[in-house]
Amino acid sequence: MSAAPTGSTPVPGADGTRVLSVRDLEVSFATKRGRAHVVRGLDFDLHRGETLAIVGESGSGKSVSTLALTKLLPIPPGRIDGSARLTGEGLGGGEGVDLLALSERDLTGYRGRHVGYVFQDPMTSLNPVHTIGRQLTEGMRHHLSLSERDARDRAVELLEQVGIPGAAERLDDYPHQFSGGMRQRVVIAIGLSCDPEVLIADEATTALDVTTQAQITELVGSLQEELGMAVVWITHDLGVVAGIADRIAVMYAGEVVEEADADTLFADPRHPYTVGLLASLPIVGEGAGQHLASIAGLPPGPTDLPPGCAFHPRCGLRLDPRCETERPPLREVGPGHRVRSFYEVPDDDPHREPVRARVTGGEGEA
Amino acid sequence: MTGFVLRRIGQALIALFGVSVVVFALVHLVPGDPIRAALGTRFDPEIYQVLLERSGLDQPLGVQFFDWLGRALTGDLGVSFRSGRAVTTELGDRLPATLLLAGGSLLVGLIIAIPAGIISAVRQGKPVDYAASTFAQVGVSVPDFWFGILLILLFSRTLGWLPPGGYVSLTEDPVEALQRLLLPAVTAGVVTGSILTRFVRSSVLEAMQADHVRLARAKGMPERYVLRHHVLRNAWIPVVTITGLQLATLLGGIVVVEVVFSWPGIGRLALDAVYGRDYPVLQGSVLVIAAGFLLINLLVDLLYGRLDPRIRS
Amino acid sequence: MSTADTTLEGPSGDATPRWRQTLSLLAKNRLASAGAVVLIVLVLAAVFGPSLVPYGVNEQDIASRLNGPSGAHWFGTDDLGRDVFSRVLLGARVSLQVGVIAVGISLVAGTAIGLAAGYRGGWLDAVLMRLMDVLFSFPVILLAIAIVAVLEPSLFTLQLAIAVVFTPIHARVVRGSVLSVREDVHIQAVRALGASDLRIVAKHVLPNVAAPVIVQASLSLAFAILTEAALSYLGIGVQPPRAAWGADLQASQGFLASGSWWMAVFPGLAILVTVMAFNLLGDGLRDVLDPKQRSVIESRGVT
Repeated sequence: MSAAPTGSTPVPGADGTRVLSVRDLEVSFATKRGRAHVVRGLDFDLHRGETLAIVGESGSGKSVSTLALTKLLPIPPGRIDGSARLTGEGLGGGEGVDLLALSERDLTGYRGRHVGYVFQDPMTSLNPVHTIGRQLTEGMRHHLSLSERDARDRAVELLEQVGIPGAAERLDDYPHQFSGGMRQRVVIAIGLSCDPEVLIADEATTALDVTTQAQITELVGSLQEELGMAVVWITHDLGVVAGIADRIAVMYAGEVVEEADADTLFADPRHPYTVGLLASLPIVGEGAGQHLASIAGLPPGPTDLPPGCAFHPRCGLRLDPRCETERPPLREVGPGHRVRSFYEVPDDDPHREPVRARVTGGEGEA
Repeated sequence: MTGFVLRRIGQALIALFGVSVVVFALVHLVPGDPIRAALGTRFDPEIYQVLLERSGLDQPLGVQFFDWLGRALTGDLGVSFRSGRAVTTELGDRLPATLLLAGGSLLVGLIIAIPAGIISAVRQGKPVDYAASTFAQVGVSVPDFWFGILLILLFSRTLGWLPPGGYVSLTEDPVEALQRLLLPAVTAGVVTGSILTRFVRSSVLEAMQADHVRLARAKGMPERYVLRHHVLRNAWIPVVTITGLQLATLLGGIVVVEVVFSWPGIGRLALDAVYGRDYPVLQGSVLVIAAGFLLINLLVDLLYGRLDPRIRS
Repeated sequence: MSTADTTLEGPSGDATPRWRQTLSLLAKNRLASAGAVVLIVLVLAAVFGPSLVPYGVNEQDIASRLNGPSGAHWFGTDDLGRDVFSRVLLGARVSLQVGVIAVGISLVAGTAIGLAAGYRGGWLDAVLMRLMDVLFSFPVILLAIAIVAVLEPSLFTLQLAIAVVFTPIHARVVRGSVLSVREDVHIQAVRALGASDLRIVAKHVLPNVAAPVIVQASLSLAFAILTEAALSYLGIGVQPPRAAWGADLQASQGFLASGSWWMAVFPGLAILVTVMAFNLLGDGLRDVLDPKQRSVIESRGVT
């Protein structure tokens, strides 16, 4: 709820130019069982060349919040409040453009053009009845008014960039003629095609096998370096973002519970939920049989949020009497490090032990 | 692809063979002597003998069947007991009327179903959607012949705008032909249209749920473009199939509409053959309609392969 | 009583028998309930009709022939001076009778064929299902016409013809369900314990295919009544002077020119209402019992 500028501290990898600034983002849906509050007051800033990872379980509101940025949600029953200001060359001067204030018609000029998306499942993200060339060029032809020829030339370039061999010959192939990993490369090429300021990768590697996962994450990282766009990486798996994220925001029940730069979050987690998530990470290289800690219970449904801190029913600490009655504010506990809890997990807490062991184990190979 | 085509054609041929066995068996299930029954009071030993020899009914059953099948393949379906004309000629005379009616009905059905189905899918849960689904529910429950009678009652007997029935060929007098086609085509077309409406709706709804539609929106394509190229383009594939199957169903069910509007088609011919116990004509018309039914189903499957690149390769 | 029922159902510990849950779910579906109410009224009309109707079905009053609807004749009179209301009310008898018997025969035959094909598999499955495919290759009305043509037109022939046409539909539904339960763990277990095939089918397979069969039966009744009406209209179904909706519509067509609209409107309306009631009930049953099956409109699209 606090509208304090967040994460304005420069982070490694970013050049300091802000491209997106989200304030008080709220998303709710009308359901038969009442209004479901899926995203509850989200604030974040995104800079050129920066990678922000939003991490959370399914249902935490991480995907919905990024779909809401360009209103890619059914409205009604959905309802979006807040602002999402996009700044950059030719975007409403220094003020930028508030995407959420735009009409549906005007928004289509921003989707794909300034905010690109890569979705989870490469098997279903492409239309089976059109060639990949057609699907790759239609956005460029629409937004950049390229001729068919120019669009095709650029499409070949893009496919080469994302590492598809024989790009020129494969333009007229259909999606089913590609493997899953190759299709996701095509989807990434589509996301990049209009050179957007922000690329949103929504569980972009979840449906892929581990080797392909690593290749795709690496690909996005190198493309980002090359093109300088900002990336929002959404995942349920902290392990995936360990190597690529500059900053990490952990979401739970529609709100950010902890946010810090990646190194701080892994080394010094303060929120009990973050600690729990980190404790459940498997350690690379360690054998099977290793017991993974997991958080007992399930996250609350968006129609029946508990009073007080949304995490308190599952929290192992619950040390403050206010936990059950009052919603904790997002507090700054260090430079750019913010925690939504009345209570910070102390350094010598036994819960931190497995985390420390894992972080040092993970850092070793990074 | 060729493997798929050949396999599918093979299946159709086997089904056609099965159909021809049934059609052949029909006449031989008739208790007593079909020719004697057909001639009835006009019995004449000479005519009887001629018909008996020409129909081959004096031969053993197996011989008769392959004889009949062989001749059927060369286009000889025997001779009508009633008119003495070749069955093929009788069918040829009636075929244009049936095709015109079936085509007209399908056209009416599509004119109703495509807009109604798309609009009710896009406006899901809105009044227009409920209206379309009520129309579909009434449409499948209404007896087509009764609907035809009501149309005659209103547009022909009461308002006097259109003729109550009869057929004029398109080449003879196109205007008159279309005037006479209108009521029967609407009769059969409304029932077809109500079934198709539901299919178009569910097909479009399903296509709208697809992930690639969300990606197309995320690319910033305008809503009309998304609807046309990413929803409807995909929704067509099942709709084409169902439309084809409906054409086949229309062809089979059209006999009733032909009777309501005194339309001289193959269905009417088959029915007259039943009344008159004219078995060769009955066999011929049933065979032709069933073969048409199979042929349309075959074409639909092949067309499906053309439309869906996943099957094509 | 109801406690005895539950113990028979097995040690599920569930207090409400399944049929009761189904009924209460069905009662919540307004359209299906409306269909059920209409059908109950129709059945009552068919059973008690003869003592309810104001006039005999074939009671002629030539003096007041072709009269429009009035206090004495609610639906008017036909060309022979018979009361249209009485004929429409009693027409329910033959329609329901033909529908129920025809669907009953096809249900028994289709279930037997589907069970045999699905449970046995192998060559028996191949032969039976190819045979069903051939029957399926004929348009419904045309096959029925052909069968009536070969046998003498009679009520029995009519029922038989409709039954033959519907058998492949039931056989396919049952076979599909059998295939999906055949490899079930509990059926495998019973087989391992040495139960006979007949016992397995009767006690374990049949209850599992009951839901789709019930749904299909309700939808088939609608279509069977439409088919009966069409065949009677064509003059090869129920024969006059018996009161039948289809045959009465055939008779009405000769008097459209003279403006006797009531002869044409009321019998058709009766067919529409009956068929729609079965369809709504069938769709409601499907939603409750077997949501994966196609709706009535969808299944009409492919038959």
